[in-house]
Amino acid sequence: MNESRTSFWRRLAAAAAWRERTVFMALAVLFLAVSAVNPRFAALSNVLSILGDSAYIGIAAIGMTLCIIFGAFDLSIGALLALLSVAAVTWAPVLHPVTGTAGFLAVIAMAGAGCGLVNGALVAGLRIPAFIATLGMMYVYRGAAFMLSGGQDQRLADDWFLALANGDLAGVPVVFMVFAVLVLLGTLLLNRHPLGRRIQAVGNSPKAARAAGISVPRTTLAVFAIVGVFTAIAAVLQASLLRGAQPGRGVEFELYVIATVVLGGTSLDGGKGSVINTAIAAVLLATLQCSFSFLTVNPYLQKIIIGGVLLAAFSMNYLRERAEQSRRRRAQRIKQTGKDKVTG
Amino acid sequence: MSEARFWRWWDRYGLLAILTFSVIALAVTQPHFRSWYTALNLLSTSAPVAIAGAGMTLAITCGVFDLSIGALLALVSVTIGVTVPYLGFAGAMAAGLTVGVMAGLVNGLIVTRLRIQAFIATLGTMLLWRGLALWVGGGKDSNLVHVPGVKVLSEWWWLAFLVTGAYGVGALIYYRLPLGMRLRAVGSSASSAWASGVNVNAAKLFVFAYTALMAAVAGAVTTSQLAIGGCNLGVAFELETITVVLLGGTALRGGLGKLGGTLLATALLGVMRIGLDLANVKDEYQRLAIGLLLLAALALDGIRRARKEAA
Amino acid sequence: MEETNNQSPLVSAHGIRKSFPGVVALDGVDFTAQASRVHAVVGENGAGKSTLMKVLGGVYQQDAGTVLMDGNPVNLRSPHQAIVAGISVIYQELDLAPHLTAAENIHLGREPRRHGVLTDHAAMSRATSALFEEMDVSIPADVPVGQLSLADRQMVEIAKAISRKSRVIIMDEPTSSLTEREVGVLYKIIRRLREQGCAIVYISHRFKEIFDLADDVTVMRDGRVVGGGLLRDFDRAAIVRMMVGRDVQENSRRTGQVGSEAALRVQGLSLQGVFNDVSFDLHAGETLGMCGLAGCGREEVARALFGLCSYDRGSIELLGKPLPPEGPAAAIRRGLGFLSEDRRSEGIFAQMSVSANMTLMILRRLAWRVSGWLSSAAERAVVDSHTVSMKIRYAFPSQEVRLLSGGNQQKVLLARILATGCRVLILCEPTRGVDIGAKNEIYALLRELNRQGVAVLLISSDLPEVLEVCHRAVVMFQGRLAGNLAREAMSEEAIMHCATGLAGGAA
Repeated sequence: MNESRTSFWRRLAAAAAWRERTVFMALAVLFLAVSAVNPRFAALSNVLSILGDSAYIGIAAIGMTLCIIFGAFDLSIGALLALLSVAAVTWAPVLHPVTGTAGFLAVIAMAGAGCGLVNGALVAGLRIPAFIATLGMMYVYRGAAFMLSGGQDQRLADDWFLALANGDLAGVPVVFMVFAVLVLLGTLLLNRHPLGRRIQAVGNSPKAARAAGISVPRTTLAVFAIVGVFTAIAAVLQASLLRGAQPGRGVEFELYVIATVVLGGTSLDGGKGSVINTAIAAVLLATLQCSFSFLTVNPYLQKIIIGGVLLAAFSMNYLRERAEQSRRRRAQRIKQTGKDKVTG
Repeated sequence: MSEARFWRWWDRYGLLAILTFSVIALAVTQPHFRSWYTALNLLSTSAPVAIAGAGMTLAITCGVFDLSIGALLALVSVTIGVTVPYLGFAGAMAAGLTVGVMAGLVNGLIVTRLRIQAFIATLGTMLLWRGLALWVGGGKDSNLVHVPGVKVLSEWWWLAFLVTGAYGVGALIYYRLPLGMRLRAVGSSASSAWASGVNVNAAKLFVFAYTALMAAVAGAVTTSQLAIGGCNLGVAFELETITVVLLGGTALRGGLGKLGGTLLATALLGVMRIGLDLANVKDEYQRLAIGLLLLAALALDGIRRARKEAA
Repeated sequence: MEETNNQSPLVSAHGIRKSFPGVVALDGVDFTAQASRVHAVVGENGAGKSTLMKVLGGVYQQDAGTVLMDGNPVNLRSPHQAIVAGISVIYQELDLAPHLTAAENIHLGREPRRHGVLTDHAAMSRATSALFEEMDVSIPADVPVGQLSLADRQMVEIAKAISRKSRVIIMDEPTSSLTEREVGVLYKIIRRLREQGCAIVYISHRFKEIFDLADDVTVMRDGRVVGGGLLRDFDRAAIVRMMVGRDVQENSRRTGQVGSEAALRVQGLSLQGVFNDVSFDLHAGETLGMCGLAGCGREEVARALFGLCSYDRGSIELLGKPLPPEGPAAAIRRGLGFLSEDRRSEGIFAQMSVSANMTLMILRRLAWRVSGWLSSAAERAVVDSHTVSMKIRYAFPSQEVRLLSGGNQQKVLLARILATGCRVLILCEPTRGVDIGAKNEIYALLRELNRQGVAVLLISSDLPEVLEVCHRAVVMFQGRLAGNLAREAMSEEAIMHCATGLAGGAA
């Protein structure tokens, strides 16, 4: 019994492909540094609130990680987030009494999956590059969000609804628990499920995937549906946190999500990536945000710092490669001069 | 075979045909559409995207995206707003354009020196420019209504001049200068261009600076039109610009740019907006219409490819 | 090496050393090429030929050693510097800008100008047309090269090198995508360049071309030069001996029992303009070779059989049942396996692990019935059994497959296909880019598969390979079957006879 459990964890660790630890180290360094300046930063309550804050972008980023590994983008999720949160808030009074909370969440998730399928159909069926197709759907979803809301902000402060994002279990925010479960699910899906393997395969080479009998169109539909579901969950949680929905919310949200995924080390070229590292990147960004308020950084400077951090992270690969190169060259030179001395 | 000829015709004149058709349809059905005011309105609403699109077309041709131009537009606007009390309007404009070009060079240097893909590098600088705009502007828009001459760039002759200039210079570069050929080569196959002795980094650096300059001009126009130095301007402007460039037929992965297409696409979206306004269609439905238009164009392309493969 | 003639070398490399993380690609290589001579460089894949050429072409910088042009050291830090120094390299993987026309590609980086500023498009296309005429090829100068055939693009690359007046022209497998006629054109071009005083370095696996063209030869193995000199001092066997480092014993011709029932029956398969009325039977336990020159349509037939491309007419019967044209997934389900000739883009998933690569086609079998998650025990078992039976070498099952050698990558691919338990295999160039050891192991595997009753359709350009492993061979010429050779009738001459259309329409 015990043995099978350890092997489960070992398998999970292997599945996470957690060899790339740069993001985690960065998070640790940042956390320790800010804690050293202000010990209250390390208080459990603060840590938990950071973890909770990371969930909203983090959850959407899980879906986007799969999408980018698949070799595509979804630029429509900001607008989709607005549409789904408006839908959630406007439908809730009608739906909730009938379906209950779980059923309500299922309906919104289905709606997200449905919208994702539309994206997927455009990409798979009409073979439009995902970048352009989802750029077009961005306008459609945004328009639909305004239509559905009549251009008005929608409010909803029912207890059951607010409990979704604002509740906690033994002090742990519910949103973070949802986030953690979804990260686990995403990791397993990517590495220990046939669909995940197919997603990776198409991301590596669509031609080879087809020759291996994988249906690329069906995988495309699945990927975009998954992105839709994760966006739906993020939308409901955010609407709950903010006690309502605005049709204009989430502009450029997709770009922040993509930045988070890339910060987590997933390459834009597709084929390879890690959900766990994406999650750590989301926590890193939330920690950065939180440390700004602890260090009383000018709120307008915060964006600049985040931009700088992202650029530094993005350039990491190249800088590391260069450092390695120069180290190798130096080693070569030393070997060469050593030889010359021996011969000379 | 006549189908192949149709597609060739479509490639060349499709957008123009749709634009002509929508203009005629609107002119027939909407009496208010038939006025000079419509043309002026079209010019003033479309000019910023049109100008920025001229730059973005070259960028995408060269195989790079610039997602930072929306934030850059705000940064330029704030720069103008902040410097106008000291430099006067013309001086402030010059300062704004200078800041824009410098920001473009920073984009280019990050992409070429740190070897970050343009898409994510400009995602980072998007935050940088937006943050700078907010920081410099203190999070507030500065009111420029009382600055003498502030409205000059929103006059139709200036707008016409700027749009013509943007596309004239763009076309000169693209079609007539060796630089244009090199930009296409870099977008088509960077390794091939490099092996032929093209300085790929210089080409990218140029294209980022040029795109930023065009975005800065768009920023100056917007500043003049609204008479504010706004740090919150231009949100999602980059996406709108990319939309018109791609709708115009520029290849997503580089190598082939359609400057005329970008201009026509911008005009088409502008005409649609005006038409929908006149028909009292609300703003939210207009967005939907734009999305559907883009998707229709894309779907047509998809169907065509599918038919070509079947044939 | 002794001085072979009294000319001084045009380009020479001394003590070139180049290493990549984990491998020494070049280990102190000396190489010289003289003006007005064609110098063949031969060696197995991975011997270091291409690395050496990339050093001479400025793509790679050597870790140690010097390159001399006319006796003066040159520092080649980019392909462009090599071009300026007078060295042009035509690489196997062609690198043209697909959106640019032939004229633009050829003049890229040194565009003719009007008034010193504007591009002179007219002069560019005039010069290009004249160049093509001189080369005796008919290629439009003003069409984007992405729309040209592979062979035409190859010619554009060659035209590019000629137009630069390069004094050293290095060609890496230039004939791999050319038809017979174009090979003839290339021969003429090479001979003319030699007359004009160019040094031509010619890399090829095809001995016929080498003996047709070359004056000198250099043989490489494992990053070193192991021999060379005047070509007329060597015969084919001697060169092969140096390449391999030992004698190759001629393997005995295939024998063995072949089943009588057809595992794959193809009748009247046609695709307008590509292949026409192709019919053959493949029996259980048989390896059938499919030969023909580049462009004869054999790859397309193989792809059509597997459902990767369509066909207009004809029928395919697999294991006694009709095989509908429903794409690869349906073909795999019915017991057909396919190995593409393009390992890199249509074979491996480079960034995925060895085990994920191997099990990709049997995921459904590895998943738990109810939950759908993969069972790692089952996955491990599949990977382990194939690793042992096929002697695949890797560090650990989660190692990325791109880090494996070509031969091991190919074995991983074969393992992936065989794991499906397919009864009929279509293999396109299974030993291309594979070292000799792995090659022999793959041959042994094919024999073992035949013994188990698996039918193999082997598409190969390597005639000795066809002779060694095939029971029978069909030969295609211009989209039609031009020959069906029984075991006794198979010989390189007979196959080439059919492949060049001399044998008429025997079927």
